[in-house]
This record gives sequence, structure tokens and C-alpha cells, in this order.
Amino acid sequence: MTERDMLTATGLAKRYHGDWALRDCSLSIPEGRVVALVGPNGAGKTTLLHLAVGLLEPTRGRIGVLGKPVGRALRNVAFLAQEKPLYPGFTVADMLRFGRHLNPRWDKAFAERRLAELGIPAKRKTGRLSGGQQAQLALTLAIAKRPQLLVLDEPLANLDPLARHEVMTGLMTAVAERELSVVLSSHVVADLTDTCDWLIVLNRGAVQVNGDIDDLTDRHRVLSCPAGSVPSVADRFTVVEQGAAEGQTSLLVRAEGQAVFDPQWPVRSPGLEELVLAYLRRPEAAVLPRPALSAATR
Amino acid sequence: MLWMTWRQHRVQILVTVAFLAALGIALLVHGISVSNSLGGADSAALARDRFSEVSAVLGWFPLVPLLIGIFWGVPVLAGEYERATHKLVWTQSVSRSRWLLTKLGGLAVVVVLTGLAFGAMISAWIGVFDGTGLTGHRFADPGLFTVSGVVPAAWWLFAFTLGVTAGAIAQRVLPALAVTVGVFAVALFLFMTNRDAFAAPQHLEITSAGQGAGAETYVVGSTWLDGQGRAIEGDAVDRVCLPQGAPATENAYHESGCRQLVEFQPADRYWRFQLIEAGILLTLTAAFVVTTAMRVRRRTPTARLG
Repeated sequence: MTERDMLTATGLAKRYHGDWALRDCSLSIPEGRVVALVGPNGAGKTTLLHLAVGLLEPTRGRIGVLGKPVGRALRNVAFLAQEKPLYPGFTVADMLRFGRHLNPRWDKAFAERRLAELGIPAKRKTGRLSGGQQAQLALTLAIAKRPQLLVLDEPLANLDPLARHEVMTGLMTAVAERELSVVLSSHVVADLTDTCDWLIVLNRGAVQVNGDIDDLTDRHRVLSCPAGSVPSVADRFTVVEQGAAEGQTSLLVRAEGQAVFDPQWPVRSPGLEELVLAYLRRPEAAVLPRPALSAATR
Repeated sequence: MLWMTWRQHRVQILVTVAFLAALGIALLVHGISVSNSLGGADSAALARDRFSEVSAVLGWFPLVPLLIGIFWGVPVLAGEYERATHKLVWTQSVSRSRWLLTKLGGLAVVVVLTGLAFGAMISAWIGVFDGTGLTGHRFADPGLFTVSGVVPAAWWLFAFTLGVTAGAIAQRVLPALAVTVGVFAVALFLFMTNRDAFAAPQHLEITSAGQGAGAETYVVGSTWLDGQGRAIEGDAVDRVCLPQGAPATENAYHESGCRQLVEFQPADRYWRFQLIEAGILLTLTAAFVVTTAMRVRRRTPTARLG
């Protein structure tokens, strides 16, 4: 596979009715990644994904997928909208026919096999399927299109824990078999911990964090130190989050390269959720591509 | 894509075809029974009775296109937006323009064909009354003009694209329905009341009973003039034109020097009027299609953001 970006955005911005849903967003994600797009409700996740699949047009800036403008990449991109839309009067078999008629590279055998494995009856009307079955059918349609990039907007929302697990497993199987690039959004970070290798944190319409997850956790440290030592740490590192507990101050800092701390302080790598929450609480802090603001005190 | 259009709209198509079949059979049966019973002694009175028993029903049929707008037009886009299926269908490999072209084109062809069949059946039924002087109603009666000839096809297509456009703009079924009903009602009223202005009427001065513009013509207006050529107010005709105590026969008016000025559209203008009305409706249809295409091509904002 050639080296190209699955998603590139340059100065991307989108305004609705006078409000900026997305502002000055620049991104570049290499192909083959499973990207977690996280952020609170209303952060602009859906807007960014809709721009990536051509359902919306940017107010400013540019967005491309798989090295092409969005409009010309439609054949190689599949999208699963948050509502998991299906035609309610259609049977499951009708939905597969829909996929076949509208997609030249439709993988009929795969779609039929997957639905059979899931025990979803072909003659049932989609409106009478359970929420989990509807999500699985919608996911099957997206994968059977044989995309190179799969874009999923809150694929796990409104599903019970068992269905969440099944949908995620199905997705990961397809990713492994087909070498797909994936972007999936969620406001529940825990859903994504095991599956994704790239993180984008979107907050109030701006990209706050963008990078490889291992790399990000490597470059951050959580440490506890006496309150008096905080200024000396803040001199050397960017403090993302600071909290006090039992006379000690706990800090989440960005520490590039070989960071050396006082050996008496407990130091560890942050968890993904911890990292995301720390940044979400500090919208002014950012990791790549922007220079971070260093703030020693709150 | 054609399969998709059929699959999504087959109920409407089948119901419409069934309605046309039922209407066709009813008009055929009625028409045959009328043509068998005409020619007798009381032919004229009988024909008038038999004509009005059906034309009373046909008088409601100008509203049929509204059903096309509601059941065929509105769901095309408003239905997709409301169930968010536009996010599904517009992210398949088929471009949005091709999706719209196939869907509108395929349905428009069916709408025009069924509309033409509808008009042809009603025209054929009116034709049964040839020679009875009743066929002129297809021109003079605003309702029958709207449901006969080629105009029904134009009305059906107009209402269909109106429904589609209302759905493209409102993005919800219920508001789109309201807009469709409102715009259609206004359009129908305007056409039915202003159609006589499509061409300047011809004038005829009637100076004796027995003269007339002819049974098939569309009489637009008439005025009585007194002996000096001054127009008479409607109520005053008897006072001015009838000599004191004279019986009110048709000739009595003319004998006193009064004349009737009749404005009318000759019968042979029926097709010209049909084409003018169809032309206006098709122009509006084209405007609807352009509006819809622009709405759909502009990447449409969604109601909810996350």
C-alpha cells in the first residue's frame, strides 16, 4: 500500500446559522489507522465526519480522503451515520439488493454470510429488527461496499452492552481481514481503548489532540510531587492537569524525550481516558499540530 | 437505481394504476350505457341527466393531482430526510445527481403517462355526448377543463414536483405536506378563475332570439345594451327592455331595441387553451426541479450536530 493520508484537512471550518461547528481544523492521518474521534457532545464530531463523506461542504478550508477530494472518493468510502439509517419498509434482503444496485464492487457473498452468522433473517422487515441487529445490518452494508475507508459516527450509541461488544468485534474482524482505515467517533472513551491506535480529541469545534495513541501516552506522565515542587516542574514541562490530594499535588505533564523526575516521586504513563479527560478540561491546551500554551498555575 | 425507485414507490404506483383502471371501467360502462340509450324522443333531457350524474363527480377530480403531490412527491426527499436515510443513500457509490435524476426522471415518466391516460379517458367519455351540445362543457366548465385533454398530465407533474420541492426545502414530511396543499390550492384557484384571460375573447352582438355564440363555445361574459348602445345594469334589464305589461319572451327584449353583447372563446380554442395551461404549469415544474436540484446538490445541513 502506498503512503498516503486517509484523511487530510487544511484550515477546515464549518458554520451553521452563524455558529461555528468546526473552526480552523487541520489534520493529517496516515492510511491504515483505526482512529478514535472523541469529544463531548456538540464538539463538532458529526460535522467533521459529514464533511469527510461529502454530506456537508466546508464553509472554509479543504478536506480530502484517500488522497482525493471528498466527492471523487465516494466509491472507496463507506459511512455509518449515527441514526444507523435503514429503509423501514424494506426487508433485510431488500437492503442487500439496495447495496448491490448502488455499489459496483458490492461483496454479496460476504454480506449474506455475515448476516447468516449473526442470525438476521433475510425476510424480516428492517423496522422489526432489534437495535443491535439494525446496527449490524447497517455495518454489514458499509463493509460489503468494499471501502478503503470506513467512517462510523457513534456506532455504539443506543446499544446495550452485549450489542456494543458484538458490533465492535464485528468491526475489528473486518478491519483485520480487509486492511481498512477506520474513523469512529464516540463520546465514551472506554469504548475505544482496545481498538484504536490513533486519537483525535475535538473540543468546541477545534482539534486539541491528534496523534498515535502509543506515542501520546509515551509523551505524557502522571506524577505526584509536593506542592512546593510544582513551579520547578512547570518550568521544564507543560502541565496539562493539576490536582491536589493528601498534601501531594498530582500532575499530568507533557514530557518530550527522556524526562527525568525526582526518583522519590511516583511517576507513571497516563491511561487513554485519563489523557483525554485532562485535555477536555483544558480546552486551551493542545498537542500537535499547535504549539501548546504553557500554564504553570490555574 | 431504477429498481430502488420502483421498490420505494411501488405502493403509490400500484394504487394510482388501480384507481385509473377503476375509473376507466366506470367511465366505459357509463359511456356504453349512454350511447345505447341516446337517440330516443327525450334524447336531449336524458343526455343532460346522464351527463350531470357523472360530471358532478368529475367536478372534484381537479383535486386528484394534490394526491399525487402528497403521496408521490413529498416522500421523495422529505421522507429521506426525516428518517435520515439520505445519509445512507447519498454515501453509496452512486452520485447524488444521478440518484436525483433517476428518481425524479423515473417517477416523472410514470406521472406523465398516468396523467395522460386519465385525461384521455375523461375526454373519451365526454366524446360520447358528441352532438348533444354538452361536449362544450369540457371547455366552459372549469372543472372539466382541468381533467380533460392533456392538461391533467401537466397538473399531475406540477403537483408531483411541487411535493418534491416542498420536501427538499422543509426536510420534514408534515410541513412539506402543508406547503404542498397550500400552494396547490392557490394555483388551482388562480387557474380556474383566470383561465378566460389566456386569449382576448371574441364579441358577438345578439339582436334577435335564436342567434348565439354556439353550444360548444366558452361564454366568458355578456352585457345588455339599450337602444342607444348604453350598457344596462343587470337588474334593470327587465325594466328598460320590456315594454310595460309585455310577456317576458326572448324576442320581447330585442323588439324594444335592446341588444346583448356576448364575449366568448370559440370552441376551436380548446386545444390552444389546453397547451397554454400545460405550458405555464410545465414552466413552474421546471422551476421546481431546478430548485430541488440546487437544494440537493448543496451539501445539506443536518438538523442535529454532535
